[in-house]
Amino acid sequence: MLEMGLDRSELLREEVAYTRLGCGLEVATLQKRGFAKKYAVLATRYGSIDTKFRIAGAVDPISTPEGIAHFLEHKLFEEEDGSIDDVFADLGAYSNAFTNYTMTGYLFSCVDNFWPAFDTLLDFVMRPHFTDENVEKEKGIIEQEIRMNEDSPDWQAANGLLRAMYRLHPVREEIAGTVDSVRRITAEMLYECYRTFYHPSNMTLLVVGDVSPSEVAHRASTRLDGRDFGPTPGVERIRPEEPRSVGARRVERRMTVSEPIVCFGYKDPSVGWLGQPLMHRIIGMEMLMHTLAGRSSALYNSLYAEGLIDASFDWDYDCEHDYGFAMFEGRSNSPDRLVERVAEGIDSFLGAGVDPDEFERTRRRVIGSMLRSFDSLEFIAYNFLTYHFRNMRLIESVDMARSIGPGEAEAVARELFSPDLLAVSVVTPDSAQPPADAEYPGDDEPEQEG
Amino acid sequence: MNPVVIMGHTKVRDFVECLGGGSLEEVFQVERLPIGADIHTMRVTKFKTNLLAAVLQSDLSVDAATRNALLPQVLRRGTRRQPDTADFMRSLDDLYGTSITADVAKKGERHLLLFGVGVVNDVYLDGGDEMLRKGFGILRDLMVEPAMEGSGLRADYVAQEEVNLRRRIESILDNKQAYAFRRCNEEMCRAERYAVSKLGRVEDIDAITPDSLADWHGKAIREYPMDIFAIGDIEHERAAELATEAFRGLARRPRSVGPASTQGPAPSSEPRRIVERMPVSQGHLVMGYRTGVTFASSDYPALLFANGVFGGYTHSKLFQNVRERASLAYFASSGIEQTKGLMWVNAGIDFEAFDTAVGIIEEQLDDVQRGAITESEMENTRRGLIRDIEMMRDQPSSLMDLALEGIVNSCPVTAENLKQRISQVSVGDVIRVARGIQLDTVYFLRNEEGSRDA
Repeated sequence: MLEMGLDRSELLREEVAYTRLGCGLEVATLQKRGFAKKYAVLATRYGSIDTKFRIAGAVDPISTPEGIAHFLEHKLFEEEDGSIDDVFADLGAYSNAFTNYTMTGYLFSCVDNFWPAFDTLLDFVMRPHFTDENVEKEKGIIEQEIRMNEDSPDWQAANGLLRAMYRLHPVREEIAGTVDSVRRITAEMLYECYRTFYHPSNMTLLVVGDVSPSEVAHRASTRLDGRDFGPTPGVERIRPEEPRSVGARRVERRMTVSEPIVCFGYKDPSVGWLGQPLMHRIIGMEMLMHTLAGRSSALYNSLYAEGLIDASFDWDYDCEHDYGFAMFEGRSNSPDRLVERVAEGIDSFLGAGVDPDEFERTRRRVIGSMLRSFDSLEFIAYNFLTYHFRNMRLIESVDMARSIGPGEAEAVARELFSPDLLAVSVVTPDSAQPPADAEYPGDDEPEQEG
Repeated sequence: MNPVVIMGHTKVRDFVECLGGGSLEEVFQVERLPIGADIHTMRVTKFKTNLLAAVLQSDLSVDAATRNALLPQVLRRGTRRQPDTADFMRSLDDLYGTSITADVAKKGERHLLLFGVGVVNDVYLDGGDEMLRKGFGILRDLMVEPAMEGSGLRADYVAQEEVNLRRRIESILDNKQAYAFRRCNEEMCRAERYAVSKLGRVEDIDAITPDSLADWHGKAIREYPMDIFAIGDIEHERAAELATEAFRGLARRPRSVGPASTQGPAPSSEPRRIVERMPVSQGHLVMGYRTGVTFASSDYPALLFANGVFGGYTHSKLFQNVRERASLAYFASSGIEQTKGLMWVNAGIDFEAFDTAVGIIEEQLDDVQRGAITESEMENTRRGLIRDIEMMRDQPSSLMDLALEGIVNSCPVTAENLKQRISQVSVGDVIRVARGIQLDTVYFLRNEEGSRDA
């Protein structure tokens, strides 16, 4: 019998059943009764930042080209006799995959034929087939994917911010790599990364939909537990020692855009958190930032009335195990003035202390938004895995939002919103004259993009 | 809790606008209310939020478009009860982050003003239907009781939103795929009202004043046909009662609006080819076609099929040939506009691959037209279409959209009915419909260097 663990949220009226198979794979199911769509994701703790690692017992570390995790994700779809997409299409299932900084996920969604599609997912992710020929063929497709992002000013502004903030940490590199780095990828490298990061003990399977959790666990066990995946590979992920300060205060890139797009933020100096403490930090900061800069805040409304921002203005706080940041983004005809005004807004907000009434209002709003997001299977699947890989439990987020106070987030904010941790990335219209004050050198030479 | 950036494996569905929304066992209950509006309700208990919405329909025209587009932007700034934007937003936060939307959309040559309110299902709070009642009140306030200043809408909001509308119209330039798509449509439909943007025109913004916009608002509320939607944990009778109470006193005299779609001019024998240049990293190709088939046509399911086989899915001819065989693109797909009867292909390609890509794309449609369609292409498309329709049940906004498509086309279609019709489509139907699809305009946005003709 498989041992099942259960997490339940009374507020959400949802529960997640967990189990770990003999092969090491974690299996989780969130049963959504009454939903037609069934959604399954098989994800591994391997993303674009895992380019340098050392295998247990080896002396030399292995360095791989940027973009290799994403490349591997593309190539796993290729089977000896064609693309696995065709098998999913035959079943009426929609298949796709994603790669971000820290994880790679393979997914399908369907209404009918869930079990054959489920078997297909487990089989193909556990069955790599890389050849020099099929690796070469993919390079043209990925080059166009990279070029698509090069033409996206929002993407460029966001990536520019990470490049400015981080001096050494690989989060500064594009997830898909560059046209040059991708050209260096070989079938042999893909096998090496696959062996290192695709062991079931490094992976989690999640099902969201009207499916029985015990059936999911048993089916996965039947499918995988007879197979020999070998011992869990010992792997040390090598990360450079990232200095506290930002690499560049301000970077700018010219593109054909109607007005400047700005992305600015503060680099979190205090990283290394996981589990409950990290979840406290993330939810607390989300609530603090909503109180500070959400649509009902005094700051947002004065920036809006002054014409410094429009409805595209947004903000976020996110923190991984070894990097994190609070960021603001939007279109603005005076990006530097906007950055200044937000920094002043933060100072006066923290100077006065968080207003308890406003924090309570935020609490109601955040609880409502969390309830709403549990209507989306895609939201649940993506965020469940993001949380899970940080040892956090998404399903507990509403209960945490209900009990959390502003004190801890205020302390985080006082440390985080420090002028020396601020970096600014601007995409400016290529027709415009360069502004006189375009560069503010950081401690090093400013980095000029484009 | 939002992903910052993700790289995907495939991107095929951006342009597939085909399937609006609908339900299978669930159907909308429709009733004409005394306020001169129809209410459409569907009771579904699985959601944590209830969707309330009201839609006004206008002709799509140069004359009306800019005012229609500006109006919702101004209305969402504040209401008679909560004239200050921050106060209005705070009152929504207090109601568990009740969400509001106020925007425009276009279906064929119909311009829609959409107002929506999303409230938490009372079951998750204190029970009863307090949130639901308040939700209808917010919908009413948002739509019909704006913040006024004298006889006009609040002047500062109008001035700010005029600037924002201009910025929004101009920002299409920032998204090169959307820009290429829009330019293709402008060129293809240059003699038709469909070319009018849902956001109107920059040059028409300045003439709008707080008074003229207030007059426009009054006229829209009195005269545009109006449909109210309530989807979620709501009994029809209760929703009708709450809507009637909320909108009590509206003196509406709805006028009929013009046809949602008109036949465009016959395409010239030779498709037009337009190449424009900008400093871009990738070539953005959009090909515009006329299908001759709309939502109200008996051939509509066969058009969904033709699009699906040609470029709607990863098993389609475009994805298989442009991406998988030729490695020319990361995305290459087709999609349809079902009220006007248009189809588009779009792909992001290398500048030098223009001729090759257009050639391969034309070959694929040609194959569909001459019946080179495999059994598995047919069946996988059938399964894909039926899956997409079934999945609408999980999304209130999709359910509403299918109902709207039916309203706009004077042809109510339930999802169950559509599913049934899809199950009956034969390969002969697909070939017949595909033969009616004609290429009209090829648009290519490319870099400034390179050969002059393409």
